[in-house]
Amino acid sequence: MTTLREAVHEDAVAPRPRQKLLVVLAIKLICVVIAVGTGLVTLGMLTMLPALAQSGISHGEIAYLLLCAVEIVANVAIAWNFDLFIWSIAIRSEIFSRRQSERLIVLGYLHAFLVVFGLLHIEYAPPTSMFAWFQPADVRPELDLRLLMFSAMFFALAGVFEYGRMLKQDSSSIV
Amino acid sequence: MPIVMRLDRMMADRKMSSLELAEKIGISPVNVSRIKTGRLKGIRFSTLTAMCEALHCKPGDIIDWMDDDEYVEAFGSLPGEED
Repeated sequence: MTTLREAVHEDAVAPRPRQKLLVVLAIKLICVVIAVGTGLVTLGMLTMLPALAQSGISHGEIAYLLLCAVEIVANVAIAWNFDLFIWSIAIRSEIFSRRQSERLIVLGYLHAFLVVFGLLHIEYAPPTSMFAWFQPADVRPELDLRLLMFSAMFFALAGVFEYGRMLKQDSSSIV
Repeated sequence: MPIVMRLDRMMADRKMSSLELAEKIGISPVNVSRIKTGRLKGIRFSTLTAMCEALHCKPGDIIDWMDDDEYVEAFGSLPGEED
């Protein structure tokens, strides 16, 4: 039988279902806003390209816009995958499953892709008057250590989740 | 070196159904069926103890061992080679 002190302590430590749902919904909302927002920006950029080409924009600028679009698409995929990962854990209680491990591996690869993409980025100074609304600074190849660390972390987490899945499978085949 | 489950034989000897055994040892009938067919990776000592208590037998009466030749002679093929 739990004492009042223990009950109060458990209540304080374990999040209530309603709080959990609110946190999950907040994360989902953020991810959806990021995904939809960046998706719209990408779409806007891509539909803008023919008009820009007609107005005498250089090939370098078009290449720059395309590279930005690819980067944005990768970021949308990251937000979308992360949202699915959190949603599955919190709502479906799907923690150690093959799908979750795959999601983490995809997140690792997407971050690794962004790191490599950053290294391959063409050196370019976009005219601020035209591109100020999304990337005013100069673009040059750089190694993003933060993204590299995230990539390694997601691969390590995928390994942990895969090990958990195998342990769970083992446990359910022992009666 | 296959392990052979003799639970079905013991249950027939004791005239006990899967459902009855499942209720007595506190596991699901599906798991009793899995033990009978040997389609599992292991049995907990607590489950084995409960089965021995319910059937009034020893672990050796439920679990047997055969060498490969004996097994093939009895069942046709080794476990995992059925396909």
